[in-house]
Amino acid sequence: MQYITIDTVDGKQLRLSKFIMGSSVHWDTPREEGYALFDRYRELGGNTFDTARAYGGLRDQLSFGSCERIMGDYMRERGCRDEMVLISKGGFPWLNEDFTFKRLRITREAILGDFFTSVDNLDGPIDVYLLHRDDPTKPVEFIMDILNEIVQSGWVRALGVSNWSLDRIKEANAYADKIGMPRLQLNEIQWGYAYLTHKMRDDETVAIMNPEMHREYEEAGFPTISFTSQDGGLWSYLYSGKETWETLHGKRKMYDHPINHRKFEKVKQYCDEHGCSPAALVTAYLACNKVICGPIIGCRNMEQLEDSMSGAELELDQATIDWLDDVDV
Amino acid sequence: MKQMTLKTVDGGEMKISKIILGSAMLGFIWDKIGEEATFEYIDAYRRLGGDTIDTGRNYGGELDQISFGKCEGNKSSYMEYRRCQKELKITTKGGFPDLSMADHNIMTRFRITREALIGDFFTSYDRLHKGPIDVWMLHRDDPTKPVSYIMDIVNEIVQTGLVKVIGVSNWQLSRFKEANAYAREKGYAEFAVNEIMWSMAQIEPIARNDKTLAMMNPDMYKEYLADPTPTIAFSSQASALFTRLQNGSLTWDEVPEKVPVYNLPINKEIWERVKEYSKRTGYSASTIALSYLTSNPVDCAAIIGSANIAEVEDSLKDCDLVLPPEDIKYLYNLED
Repeated sequence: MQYITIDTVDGKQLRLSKFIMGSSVHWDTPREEGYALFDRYRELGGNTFDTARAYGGLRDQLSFGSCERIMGDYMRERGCRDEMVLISKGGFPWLNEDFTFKRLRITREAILGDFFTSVDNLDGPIDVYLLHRDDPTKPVEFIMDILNEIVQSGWVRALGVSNWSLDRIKEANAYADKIGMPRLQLNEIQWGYAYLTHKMRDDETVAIMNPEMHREYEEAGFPTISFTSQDGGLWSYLYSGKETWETLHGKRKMYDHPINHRKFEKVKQYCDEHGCSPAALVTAYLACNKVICGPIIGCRNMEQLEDSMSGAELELDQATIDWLDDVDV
Repeated sequence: MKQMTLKTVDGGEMKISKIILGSAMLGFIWDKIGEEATFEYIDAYRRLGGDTIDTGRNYGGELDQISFGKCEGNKSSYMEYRRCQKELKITTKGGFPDLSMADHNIMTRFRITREALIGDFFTSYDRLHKGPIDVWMLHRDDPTKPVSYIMDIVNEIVQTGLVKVIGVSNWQLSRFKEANAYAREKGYAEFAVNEIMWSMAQIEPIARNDKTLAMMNPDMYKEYLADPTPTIAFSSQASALFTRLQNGSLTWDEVPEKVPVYNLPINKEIWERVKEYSKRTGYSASTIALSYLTSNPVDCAAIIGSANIAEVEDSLKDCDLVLPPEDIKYLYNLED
C-alpha cells in the first residue's frame, strides 16, 4: 500500500492510504454486510474513508446524511476511530427534485451548517474536510475565511477541496499563506483511465482530469484523490464480457468513444499478458501515476472490494503508464 | 385573525397569527397534488389571515442529497415564487434526536450539543433562504444537560444576528424557567415560547409512542397560569376528533380503534359539551376546538394540519371568535 502524506492544521502530518474506501455502504445494505466490507478494506491495508454531508440520504429525518451516520456507527461499533482517516465534505449544491442544479451553497452559513452537522454525525473531529464544489463567483478570500473559522473550531485536522481548478487552489493557498492559515492539501476530482469530457458526462461542476490538467498537476506537485476511479467498472465489465460496447449499462454508456475503444485494447493486452484484473490495472494506473493520486474504491460487495484492492499490490513503472497513455487522440 | 406577541432577542416584539399552518400535511399534499396546488393551499391559509408556518430542520426528509430538509426547502420555494419572505413567518426547530435507521420510533441519542445545534441552525438558515430565522426553537430538551450549557449555545446562535425569536419545544416549564433565569443572569436573550402538545381533547399518554413530548396537563396548566408563558400548540385539533365526530366521519365507538390516544371517557364528556355549545352558538366543532386554545388565558397559538383548502377554510372560519373564560372552563376546565 502506498500513502499520501499531507500537512495537518497544527503542523503535523497525516498519512492516507492511496486506496480509499468510498461511501458504498448504503442505508439499505444490511449493516453487518456493510461493516464486513469496511473490515476487509482495513485488513487489506486501507485506512482512509471518504464520505460527505450530502451522501447516502434517504429520509433526512432519520439520517441527517445516512452515509456519515453509517460510518460513524461503524467506528463506534468497532472502536477503530484512531486507526481511520476520515474525509468528509460540505457545501454540496442544492438540487431540484429531478436532480437538476438549483443553486450553489458556498456561503458561510451553508458550509458551517454542513460542517458542524458532519462533526455531530461522525462524533468528533474530521480528519480531512473538503469543500464539495467551488463557487467561482466568490473571491477565494471569502471562502478561505470560512475554512479558517472551521480550523478555529478545533474540529478539523486538514483542509482540502473537491472539483476546484488548480488555479483557484493556488490563489487560495497564496491567501492562506498571507493570513497565516493552513493550506488546502488536496483536490478530489474525477479521474479514471478512460477518456472523458464534460460533454460526455453532462455535469459541468465536476473537475475531470485531462492531459493539460495533468501537466499542471505534475508541475505543481499537488495531490489528488480520484472519484469514479474505475470508470464505473467499465473495464471489468468489458473484459469479463458481461457487457460490450453496444450493451453498456447506465453510467458506463457515456464512455463509448473511439479513444476508449483503443484504451480497452491496451487493458486487454496488459491483463492477458500479466494475468491481472482490469480493476487492479486501472487503479494502479492512478496510484503509481507521477501525479500524486489516491483512487477511491467504490464497491458493492466483497468480490469487487478484493478485486479493486488487488491494485494496491500492483506496481506499474512509468514506461507502462506512458504506454497506457499512448493512445491516438 | 388573532395575534400572539413574542419577545424578540433584541428586546422588541414580533406578532404571529394565532393559527399557524403545520407542515405535517404539507409534505403529503405536495407529493399528492404537486407544487402549484400546494402553493394555492398556502395562499388560501394566508388569504384568511394566517401568516406563520411551522416546520423543523428534520421534517419532510426524503433524499437528503437533494433535500437537506425537504420541508424547509418547500417553504423556501413557496416564498421564492410568491416573493413573500418578509410577510410570511417561519418557525423552525433544531436539535431533534437521532433516530434508529432500523426503527424510527427509537431515539438513539439526544442532539442537544453545540455541534448538532449550530449545524442544524446554520443549515436551516441556508435552507429557508429568507434571511434571519423568525422563530428558532430547540426541538427537545436533554434533561441530563445543565441549562447553562444549553443557554450558552443558544446565546452563540443569538450572537450570529441571524435569528429574531428563540424558543423551545417539548420542554418542562420548570426547565424553561430555569433556563431563562440563567439567561437573565448572564444578560442573554430569553426563550420566548414553548411549543407543546395541547388540544381540548385529553391525551392518553401511554398510547403515545414518543415519551419525550411535553403535553399540557392540569399541573402544567396551573403553572402556566401562574407564570404566563406563550405556548404554541401542536396536535391542537386532536386529529380533528371533534370535527369528525360532528360531521359523522367518526363515531365514538370507532375512537378506541382509530384514535386510541384520545380514547378517554373525559373526551366523551367534552364532546357532549362541544355538541351542546355548537348547537347553542352555531359555531362548528372545529372553530370551538381552536378557539378554546386561541382564547385561552394561557396564551396559545394553535398549529393546524389541514389536508386541503376546504379544511383550511373550515379551520380558519370564525377564527376571531373569542371564548370567554367561563365558556372555556365549561368545555374543559384544566384547573380542576
